[in-house]
Amino acid sequence: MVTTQAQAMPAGSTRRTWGRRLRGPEAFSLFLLAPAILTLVFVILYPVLTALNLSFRKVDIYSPGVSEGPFTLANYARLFASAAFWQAVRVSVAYVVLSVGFALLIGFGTALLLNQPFRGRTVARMLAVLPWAVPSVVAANIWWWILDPSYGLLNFVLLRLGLVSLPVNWVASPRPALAAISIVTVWKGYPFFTVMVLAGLQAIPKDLYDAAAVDGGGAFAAFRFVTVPGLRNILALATLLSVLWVFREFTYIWVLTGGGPVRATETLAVMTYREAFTFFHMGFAAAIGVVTLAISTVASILFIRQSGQEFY
Amino acid sequence: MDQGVGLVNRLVAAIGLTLLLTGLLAGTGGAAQTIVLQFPSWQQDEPGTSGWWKDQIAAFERAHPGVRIEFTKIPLAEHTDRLIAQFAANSPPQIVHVPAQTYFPFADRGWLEPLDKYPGIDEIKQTYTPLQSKTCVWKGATDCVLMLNYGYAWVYNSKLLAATGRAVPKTPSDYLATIAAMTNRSQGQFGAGIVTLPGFNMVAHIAVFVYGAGGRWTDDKGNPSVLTPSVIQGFKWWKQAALSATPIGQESGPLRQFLIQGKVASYNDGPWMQGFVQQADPSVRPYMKAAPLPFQATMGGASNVIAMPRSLPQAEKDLVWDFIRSGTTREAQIRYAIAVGAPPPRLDATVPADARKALPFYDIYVDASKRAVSWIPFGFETKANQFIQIVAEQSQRMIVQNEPVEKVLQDLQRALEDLKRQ
Repeated sequence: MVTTQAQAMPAGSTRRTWGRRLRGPEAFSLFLLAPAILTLVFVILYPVLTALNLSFRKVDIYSPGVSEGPFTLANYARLFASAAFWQAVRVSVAYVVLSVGFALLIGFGTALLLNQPFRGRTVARMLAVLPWAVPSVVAANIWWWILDPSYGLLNFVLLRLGLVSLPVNWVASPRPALAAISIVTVWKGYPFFTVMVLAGLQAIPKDLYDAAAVDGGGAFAAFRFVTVPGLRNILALATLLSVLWVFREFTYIWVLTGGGPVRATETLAVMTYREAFTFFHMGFAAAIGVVTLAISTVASILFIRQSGQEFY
Repeated sequence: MDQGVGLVNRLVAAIGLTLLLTGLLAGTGGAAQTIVLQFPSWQQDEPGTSGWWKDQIAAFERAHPGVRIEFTKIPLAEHTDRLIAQFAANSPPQIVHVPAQTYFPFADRGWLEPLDKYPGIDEIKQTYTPLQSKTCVWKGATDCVLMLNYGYAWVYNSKLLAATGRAVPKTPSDYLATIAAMTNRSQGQFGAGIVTLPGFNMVAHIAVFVYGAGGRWTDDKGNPSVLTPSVIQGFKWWKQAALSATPIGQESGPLRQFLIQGKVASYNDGPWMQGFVQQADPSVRPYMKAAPLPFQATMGGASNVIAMPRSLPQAEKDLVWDFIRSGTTREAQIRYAIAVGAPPPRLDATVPADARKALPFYDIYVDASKRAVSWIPFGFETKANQFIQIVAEQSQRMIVQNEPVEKVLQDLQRALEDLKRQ
């Protein structure tokens, strides 16, 4: 039978270990960190607990603090029976898959290109990450004008090139609207992958590529057996962060489509906002928020488990 | 060592002196503190009305040293939502400016100060249009002052109309044919600007057709009645107009801009359009005209109201009332009529003949306001915000997914019945 060290130690000695640690330099460190930890608990845990509490109440926003109502599962019952909720889940998944998938591909490709030595590489690297530096609202408004169905630049170009015979309703038709918000999100999000992958590429030892060449592997083999495994952890981390960012994305969608037309671009984040600040169903909105948090947490755990393996 | 002690003493003395000076300066600042009255409004940059408000604010600030009014812009589409959130958070603005259609939720929840005890309210009651009491008296108390009663008219580009060889439309079918004839999508030219982005303005534009066909949102008991032949007819007209002649997916701001640039040939709107027309491109402005809408009823009624929160300290309430009252005098109302280009709510405020001549649309809008029917959803006054969202969202299906009017209206009827029960 295998016995771990903790199991082998009597309970008292565990307490003594903690006591000894708290008297040592670690205790002082903990003391110094305490304000930051308490602040984090307050700004993260308190809102989460408040939202959780609200999600189990019928909240009357018109009488704040007066009638939070008794404990109820009604918000969750209504949520899971709501066609709009499942529609928002489908839209959220489609939006995340489209946006993160294309951002990953473009970011990966851009990083591979920018990793090659060529004249003007520094300027090219700067230009490639430029969209990342544009504030979200500014980016959304710029794209709103580009995608405007009647007077937008994109339709003008498509019409001039003869690729379409009539202007495309980019933000006023369901499928083009989802494509439109995904295009904007990809444009804004791919530089993150570029930066991460570029950093990862530069960390892969050149010896591995030399070894692959000695073994008779070509460029594709080097890419498949050296580059991709070498970037595995970075890609997993970057994808996880992107999935979480895109999953809770609000700005581009709200500015471009407002979640429409006919809820075609209403993600869980937009639905939460609309329920909270258009219909003022705070309890219901909190329930959507809690479910969104749960989905994000599960996704994070799965990604972290997958990315735990070492390459070297 | 002594030097070190001396240094510490000097440092302590310097810190003490700094704190003392800071305290004194703060005290001085407190004595001369300015009272700021927040006044958010969608009219902050609206041609015509904006100028009148700014004149009123300047005059008020001159008469009340130490008081400043912060006049800020909130788009109409999100104005009511934001106000509700501010009231719910117990931090409303001191001056509450709100569309008449969405004012009732505020009054019904007791958020607004009853104005009946304030000096000068009797003069307003006696001199204002009956719409003042119809709109602003809620549960027996006067909670607001009416800013404008109005009717819609058809503002159009006569050059673009002449190019079609058609005359000003006199019937609904003539109107639909005319705006379609003025449309050339591939050239970016549209016959009408109709708001199709969900929100307040979209429902107002739908109401032009629904009320124009003789329909009403609700019956005499305040229950939803969107399955009547008149409402169905109105929606069919709206759908046809939107699909055949308007740039889809636009709000009122860009559409008005397109009108004065000559890209949109006509727009259904209230008297404030005169202010926008003054800003038109010089090549377009001479051709901008107005005509009565060719429907059996004209959408309009009470437009917007001004009020104050019940939760304010009395001193601030008195200041806000002074501000509101200053806009109700005969002189201020005449200036308002000239700025807006519409008859003011105060009935004894007559616009001088020479000023009237400078307002080419004035008579059209006077006539429109007399014939106007209010689109405030009777029976849903206190849920006006949700009502607007539901109507807009359902109606959008007709134009985005081209769903049949009757099918969508059945869903709308059910959704409104659900809202009624909540």
